[in-house]
Amino acid sequence: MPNSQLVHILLAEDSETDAEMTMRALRKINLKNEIVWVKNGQAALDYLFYEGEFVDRPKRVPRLVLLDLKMPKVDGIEVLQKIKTTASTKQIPVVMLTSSAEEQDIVRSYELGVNSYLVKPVEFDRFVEEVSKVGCYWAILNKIPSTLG
Amino acid sequence: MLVLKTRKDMLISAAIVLAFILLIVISVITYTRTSQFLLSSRWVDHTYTVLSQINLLLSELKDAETSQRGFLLTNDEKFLEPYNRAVASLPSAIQRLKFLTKDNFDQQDDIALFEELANRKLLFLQQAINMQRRHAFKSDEDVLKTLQGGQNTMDELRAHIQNMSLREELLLSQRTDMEKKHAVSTRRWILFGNLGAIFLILVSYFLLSQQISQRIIAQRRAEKTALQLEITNKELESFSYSVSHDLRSPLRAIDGYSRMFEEDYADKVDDEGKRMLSVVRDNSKKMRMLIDDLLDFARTGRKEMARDEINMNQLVDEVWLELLSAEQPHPTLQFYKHHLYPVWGDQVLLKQLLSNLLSNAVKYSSTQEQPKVEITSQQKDGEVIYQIHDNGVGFDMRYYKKLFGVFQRLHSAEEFSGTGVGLAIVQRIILRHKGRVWAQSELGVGSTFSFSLPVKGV
Repeated sequence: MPNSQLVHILLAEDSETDAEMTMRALRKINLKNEIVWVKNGQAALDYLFYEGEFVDRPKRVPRLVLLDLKMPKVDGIEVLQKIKTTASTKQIPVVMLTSSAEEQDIVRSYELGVNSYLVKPVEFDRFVEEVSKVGCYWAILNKIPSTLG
Repeated sequence: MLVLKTRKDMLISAAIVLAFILLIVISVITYTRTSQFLLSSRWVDHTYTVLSQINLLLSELKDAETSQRGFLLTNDEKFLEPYNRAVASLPSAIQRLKFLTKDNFDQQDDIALFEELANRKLLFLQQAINMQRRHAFKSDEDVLKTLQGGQNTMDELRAHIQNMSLREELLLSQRTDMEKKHAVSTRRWILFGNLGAIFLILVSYFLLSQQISQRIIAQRRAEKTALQLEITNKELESFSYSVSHDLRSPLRAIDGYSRMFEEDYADKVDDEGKRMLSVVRDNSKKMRMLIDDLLDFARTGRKEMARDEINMNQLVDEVWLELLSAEQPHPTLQFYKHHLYPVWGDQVLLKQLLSNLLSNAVKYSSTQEQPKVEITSQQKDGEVIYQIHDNGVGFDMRYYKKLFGVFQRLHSAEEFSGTGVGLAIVQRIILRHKGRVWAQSELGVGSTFSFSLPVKGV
């Protein structure tokens, strides 16, 4: 595993504890530098499309988007739909990171073109293991077009 | 409500049966009256025939008398022709009359008298003719005397025939009167009988339509209840959804932060602090298992059920293999599977049922030296009964009532792990299949869990 990579990741998660644990898991594989955490779907969209509070941020596309499903204002499914139907963002890998193992959510996410669907384990050790595996694969091992990240 | 309904049902049946009986009575009456009418009109015809026959005979006798008188005056045999005809035809004509009146004794007596008089009349005529031929008349007075005798007989005959006619006419008028009366009563029967039947049919129609509308109302009510049930189910669904999402998240935080605390502050916390932290983590784990099992329980209640023929031999093998790979079995664990009958049901639900029962059998026999689990089946009265025996610790039959309850446990968590939802799920699955489930046990000897499923889908 490469050391201290600068990988630009967007994490949309309304639960502070889940967000902290997710970031801790990602840090364990040295993905520590550029994790941007937003607390709802609207903020995630603002970030991706340089709107609202992110209107002046430098033009950079994240290499991976981690989405919670149930979020206030705009939920994960809506963010996923917007990302996958917009030309400039549809190539960004999106991973659902959620508590819901409901069949309807999984089916809907795949219909919209999600790249991975992960159910957060309640047990912390397994949580760390699975989140870091997904982070390692999508943010480091997976090859993406050079126009991105 | 139910009693009222059956009473109304009986009323409708009674009205219809009554209308039916009424129609049958009307039919019988009109049929017999019509036959009677036909019969009596035949009798009227018959009376006329008899009367005309008698009158015919009388006119023939008159002809015979006239021809005899002609002969007596002229002595010309030619005049005797009608007389001869009458003599020749009289016996057969009388025979016919007898035949016509053979059913009527009064008339037969009349005809007998008539025959006697007619024969007497012919005898008088014959005597006069014979005397004329022998030139035996000495004077006109002799002739007159003979003729007088014939004349008297003829008068008697006339009187007799008039009597007969009068009687026949009386009979005729009596019959006609009766017929008129019958016609009136028949008309009454047809009119009121039909009106009654129509009334009864209308009543039953009214009652029936009332009942149909009541049933429609009941059906609508049932539909409404079904809709409400569906809504309640949807609410339950969203409830379990939020349970799965919202309750797991804080649990994850409890476990995660205890673990992070352990990792980051291991050198600053003593052993007692670490023990306390592990208690926190153990309990969050227990709670996670409870939530998972409760969700499973909720899912078995609301999941759509399939109805397929299930090969239980295959399903049990599958479950057993999964069980062995999931937990570390006792090294000497023995499993006996006898031939199992197939059954109709939901593959997923039945698999969960078998998994719960078999894992229980394995779990509660794991403390024995030589654990044994056995599954058998038998077919009886349209259902298949499956039995899972183990030689485990068993349970106290005094607490049997609690056995299938949610979160009910007959062993402590220290002895055997578990949340107490497994058998509640088993019972719910069996109920959804319209089957039965029961158990028998002896402490320290073992338990037998039995469940029955219908052979064919209900």
